[in-house]
Amino acid sequence: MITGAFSFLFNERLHRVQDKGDSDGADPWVAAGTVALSLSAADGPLLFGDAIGSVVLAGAAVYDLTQRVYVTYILHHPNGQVYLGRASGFGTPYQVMMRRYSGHERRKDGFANPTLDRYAHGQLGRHAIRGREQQLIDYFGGLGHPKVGNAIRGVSQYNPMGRYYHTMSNQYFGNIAPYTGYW
Amino acid sequence: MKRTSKSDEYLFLRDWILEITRFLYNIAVKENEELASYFLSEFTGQTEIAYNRRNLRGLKCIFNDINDDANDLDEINKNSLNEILNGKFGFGLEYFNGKTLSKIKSITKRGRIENVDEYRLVSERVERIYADDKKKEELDALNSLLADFESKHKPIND
Repeated sequence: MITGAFSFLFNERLHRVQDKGDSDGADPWVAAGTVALSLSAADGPLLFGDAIGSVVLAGAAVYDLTQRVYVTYILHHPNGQVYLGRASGFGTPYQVMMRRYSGHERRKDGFANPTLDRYAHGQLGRHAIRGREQQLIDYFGGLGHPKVGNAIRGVSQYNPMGRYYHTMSNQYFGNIAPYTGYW
Repeated sequence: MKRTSKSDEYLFLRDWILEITRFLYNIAVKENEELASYFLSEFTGQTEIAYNRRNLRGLKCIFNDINDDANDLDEINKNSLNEILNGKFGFGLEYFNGKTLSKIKSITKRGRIENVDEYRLVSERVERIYADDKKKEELDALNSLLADFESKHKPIND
């Protein structure tokens, strides 16, 4: 849970990623953005400086590690490309990401240096992470962009639940990219 | 499971999705009432729309998603859900998990992923087994299929 103590970090992160100006702003749920601060979600510690990161990690330690955690992560290629993905499992979000990375199919292509983006718990958190993965892909330019190493969308454009996942991600993490599905 | 017509398939997909959605809502509502209500209204609403429009692809997307959600439940809740599904449909989640595994085996035997739907199927399986040391051999084989498909698949928004 993001407590009041972490809310400024949450907002700081949002401002940072929204500098790109991609917020679609058309989503009615965005207006209720403060809801996100009471949910089981938190910023990825590796995106912050070390000092701040340690505070977030301390907060993360209160989680029930027997509960499944859902994460989004970023892999980096020396040529500047990124690969955006999601994973789930048990343990700390960082452990889940690293375990997934250890057997990741894109390692052989040179993708490395995994960075934890966001994480969440529970059924609703799972849906938020699905939306977040797609928003990350779109944030970096979408499929086919030279910066993006993904060849497949996180959520199919034909998936009727695409907009719902997008909205859930907005609620949990804030919006970083416009909706790109058909429905 | 015996299906007699396309209409039966649409009806089955709708009813199956709605049954699981209601079950998951009762769990999600303990997390956050407002967002759980949103989840319920969106899943039921989009399912009804897809059903009324005879959008089989859309229904199958929701069907796969809701089954994945259900498979993430803890054992107690999964057993409770399976009881409900068995009572209403005569089979539970394992029936479709078995079908999915058979499909993945046939993809593995073929040695390549042929389309995005298969990619997502294999990818979801990898997600389920990546932390299981006993399944390392299967994981390596599936990873190889995924990497091969990604390297050959032209990125398109599908």
